[in-house]
Amino acid sequence: MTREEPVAAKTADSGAAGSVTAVASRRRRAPSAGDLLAWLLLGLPALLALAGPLMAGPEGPPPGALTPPSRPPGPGHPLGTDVLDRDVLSLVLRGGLTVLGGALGALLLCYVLAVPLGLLAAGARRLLDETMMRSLDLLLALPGLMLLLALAATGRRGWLWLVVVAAVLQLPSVARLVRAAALAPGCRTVVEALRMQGRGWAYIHLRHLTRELAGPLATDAGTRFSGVLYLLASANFLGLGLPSSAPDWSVLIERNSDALFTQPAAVLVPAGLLMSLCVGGNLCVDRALARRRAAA
Amino acid sequence: MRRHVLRRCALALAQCFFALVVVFALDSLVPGDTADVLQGDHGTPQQAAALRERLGLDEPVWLRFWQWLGSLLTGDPGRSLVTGLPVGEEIGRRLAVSLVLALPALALVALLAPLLGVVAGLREGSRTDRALNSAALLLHSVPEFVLAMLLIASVSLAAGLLPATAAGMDGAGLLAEPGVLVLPVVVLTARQLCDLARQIRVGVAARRGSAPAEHLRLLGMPERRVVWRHVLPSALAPAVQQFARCVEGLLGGALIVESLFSIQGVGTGFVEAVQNRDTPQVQSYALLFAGTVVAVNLAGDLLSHRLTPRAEATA
Repeated sequence: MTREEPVAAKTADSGAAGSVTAVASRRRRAPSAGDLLAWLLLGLPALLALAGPLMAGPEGPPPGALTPPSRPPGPGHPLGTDVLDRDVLSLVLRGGLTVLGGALGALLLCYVLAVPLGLLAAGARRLLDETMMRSLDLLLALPGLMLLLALAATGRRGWLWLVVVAAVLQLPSVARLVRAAALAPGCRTVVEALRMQGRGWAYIHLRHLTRELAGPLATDAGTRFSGVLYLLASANFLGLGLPSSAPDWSVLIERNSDALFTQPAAVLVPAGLLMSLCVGGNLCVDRALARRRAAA
Repeated sequence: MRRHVLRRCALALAQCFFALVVVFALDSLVPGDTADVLQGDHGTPQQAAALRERLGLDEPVWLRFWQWLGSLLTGDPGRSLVTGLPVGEEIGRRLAVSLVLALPALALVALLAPLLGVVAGLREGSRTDRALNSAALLLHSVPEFVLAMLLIASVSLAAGLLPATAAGMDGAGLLAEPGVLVLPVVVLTARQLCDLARQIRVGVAARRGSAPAEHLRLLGMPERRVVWRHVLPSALAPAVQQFARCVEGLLGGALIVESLFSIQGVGTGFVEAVQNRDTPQVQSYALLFAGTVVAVNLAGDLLSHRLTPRAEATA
């Protein structure tokens, strides 16, 4: 149906710039300033997300302390405090893990589910194949945030629900991609040959085909990462996932948005980090695709 | 051709039914049901049981689904558990407010995205193209709520130019003060506009360098004619499909933008209903969203198929 189109479109994307700069980028091995910027934008928040929890100091206000919340940056609190009078710096250091972990976890779960489904559909008889792909198409009727809201209305909110829903929503397009790659003519010939050699189903599918699929799937994961990140961040912002006291970048932005004027750091620092992660991720994928297209 | 249309319509119908089942199942398969919610923490089990009987909650699931479906099809989604008012009226009122926000955004996307996409695509690799593409990538990557925070902080609070909230205004009030709408519309539009423009750019660029276009040039057709007669028409079909998907993105964006700027539209209505665990409202909103997505995608696919009748592959 329609939703696999963006992947294809984005894969074809930036080949645009590639065809013109093809010769230049083939000759040049050293990373350009643009590459460096892209990696910096992606790497800085990612590193902070992963290493931050190790460096973070205590976040809560000392018990019994009667200081006003949302204090601007000052001694002891380099970034000030938030609406609950917690130290913004340590919140920010802790808050990236759920953002990055959620997106990566959802992607991983999605591929773990979609690869066998796609392979099964590719190898199955036509009727089973059709039934599987059509049933997956039904999922396209459910917009992500709507489903998460409906789940939250029945009390099913939580980080795990977010990750599972985000993964399931990606299933139709990823399964379709896997199926298409496994049915590609070249791939099919090798599969026939392996089958004639007496290799079993598991050998063919799990050893040969998964290796064949690694390339397309890596590209797909890159483009999909930002979409999943967007969905999870938006859901957390609406309060559909993590509890409102969680040190997550999206939750922090939401909680402190009312104090934007008195304590802008509590909103703008996590907002900047989230933005840098999203933009950096997209830029890296964009440039990597351009380079591959140029090399091809 | 007709076969394809029928198949696509059948899929849309199946999707609608699937959405109905999911929305119904989400509510009826939880341990704590509507009666528990209404009763709160104060009711006795006997009261909850009586209420359950009155609401018909102790009947078998399939029978309740059937009754629920029947009442939906006759246009009666029930009454709100919180206010007691008919859900339909409430949603209708909010829909008017949402349209005031969504229509300008939709018009901007429909107008600007093809323009920017075609301009960039035809000048592929030029400085204009690279600048436009980088800006689009940047804006497309930023989630709406992050962009909104940055804009509110800079435009509303620091520069004091535009209001940062539309709290307490209805549709007519918003129309009377368009200044309030500027930031919400910009935030709602930005992400989808950039996404669509980038996709159109890729399509135009690919078709400009395609073999048929090269062939027409070799035959001596002037470039202007190649673009108008070949490149743009053939880039239109995928663009229509991508536009349909943008509408879906706008729906999700409206949820965020409305709660950010406290606009009393369907998005905030949905979020409030979820917070109140107001089941009839939640179900109606969910079906409204799912139905719109299915309908828009169906329209996009059929139109796109009509524009390229030979592309049978896209089911």
